[in-house]
Order: sequence, then structure tokens, then C-alpha cells
Amino acid sequence: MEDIKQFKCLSDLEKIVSEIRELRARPTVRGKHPTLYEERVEGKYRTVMGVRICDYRFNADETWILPDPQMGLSFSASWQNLKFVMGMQAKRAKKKPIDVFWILSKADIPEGMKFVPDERNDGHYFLAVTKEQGMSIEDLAQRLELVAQRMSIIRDGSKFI
Amino acid sequence: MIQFSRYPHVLALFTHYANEHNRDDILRLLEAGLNNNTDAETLSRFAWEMAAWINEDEEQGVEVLGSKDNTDMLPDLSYEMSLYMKDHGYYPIWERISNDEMS
Repeated sequence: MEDIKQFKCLSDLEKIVSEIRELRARPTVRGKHPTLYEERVEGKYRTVMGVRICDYRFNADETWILPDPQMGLSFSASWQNLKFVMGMQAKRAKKKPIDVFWILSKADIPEGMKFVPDERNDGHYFLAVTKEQGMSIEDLAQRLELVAQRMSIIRDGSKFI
Repeated sequence: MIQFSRYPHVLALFTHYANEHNRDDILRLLEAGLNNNTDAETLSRFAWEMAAWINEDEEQGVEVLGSKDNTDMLPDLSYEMSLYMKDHGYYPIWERISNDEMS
């Protein structure tokens, strides 16, 4: 029960992020998908089925994801981390709303995946593939879509910076 | 040479925008690494300028690194700068300048 907190309003995003230690968040420019990326066909940042090559450990023909606890979709778990990302997204003349998608790490994360703390960067987590034999890119994309559906949204998060 | 190992495209962004804006000082820092607080401040300020240019190029449909929208890379930029500054003892400078840029 000690993890249950009540917030009367969302007037203080910093307080929410700081006090709910299990919160994992991804600030997202409105209109973009919270866990999958638009198609990129070139470079280290290219995507396969909405998953970036640089985020997971792919096999040689890029059909299978190998388990790696220090690779995965990036999530903020501290106000500092979240604020800097939102600050960069908000650094523009024509403002666009930035929504904070969040999920609790103890929530129903799909089988074969887990939130793992970044060993080198405090306040940052990876949604890693932990299934021993790995999983196909189709399975991973499907799981990331499922996570997106389970995420809650704090709209216009950048106004709290 | 400064390396950003998790998101190597961050270096490609730095190089592109330093060239685009004739910032030879940034190209030199990328090549030589940071040696003092002034270097750390210069690179930190430039990272935030770069965030604004990435957003501006997306608004104006300018193609950079093969795409007209690189805003998905902004979290990568924030990540790599935080990590590099922590690893090299300049995080307080990065933190101060970042808070200043957001104020």
C-alpha cells in the first residue's frame, strides 16, 4: 500500500515523477507513437517494423532480437532525465504539445521483456528483451504496441518545465 | 574524437550542424574531446542550439541525414550529452546550462 499515492491534480509533474519511483515515462511530440518509430531505411538509426536497429540487439539478418539487459527502448525514471528530453523537444519557435506517456514498471509488461536500470546513466531505464532465446522482430513490435496501449498519458507535459 | 557509442547518429548530427553553421570550434572539440570547463560550456550550448535547429528543420521540411524529421533523435542527444558529461566530470556544467536553456 505504501506505493499508492494520491495526486489531486497534475499541477506538479516533477512531484509525480519524483514520488512514484516505479514510473517509467517517454515524452512524445503529439501525433507520434509512444513506443514505435516511423520508418527509416538508412543508417544506424534505421528501423525494422518500427523498431530502431540501435535500440535492440538484432541478429545478422535483422529478423530476430537477442536478449541484452543493457539494450532496449529508452524510458525516463527521474524528473531530471524527463525534463531535459522534453526541454529539447520543446526548443522550437512554433510550439507543439508534448505528451508524457507513462507506465508503472510493476505493471503488466509483456512476457519476455523487463524494465532494467541503465548501468551508466541514473534515472534512465531500458525496456529490454530478457527472454533467453530472444524473440522475432514481429513479436517485439507486437509487444511494444501492447505496452503503448497500456500506457497512460499526461497531456502537454512540457508546460511543467 | 568524441564517441557516442549507444546512439552514434548523435555525432553525425553534431558534425552536420557544426558544418552547416561554420562552427569550426565545435568540429575541433569533437575531434580533440573536452579539456576544460570552457570546452564543456561551449559544447553544451551548442547541443541546445542544435536541438532548436533539428526542430526548425522539421518544421521547414529540410532533409538532414536522409530525413525531413530528426526530432526522434532529440532524446538520444539528451542521453549522450548527459552520459558524456557524467563520464568526463562536466555534468554540473551540462545541468546548469540545460536548466538555463529551458528557463
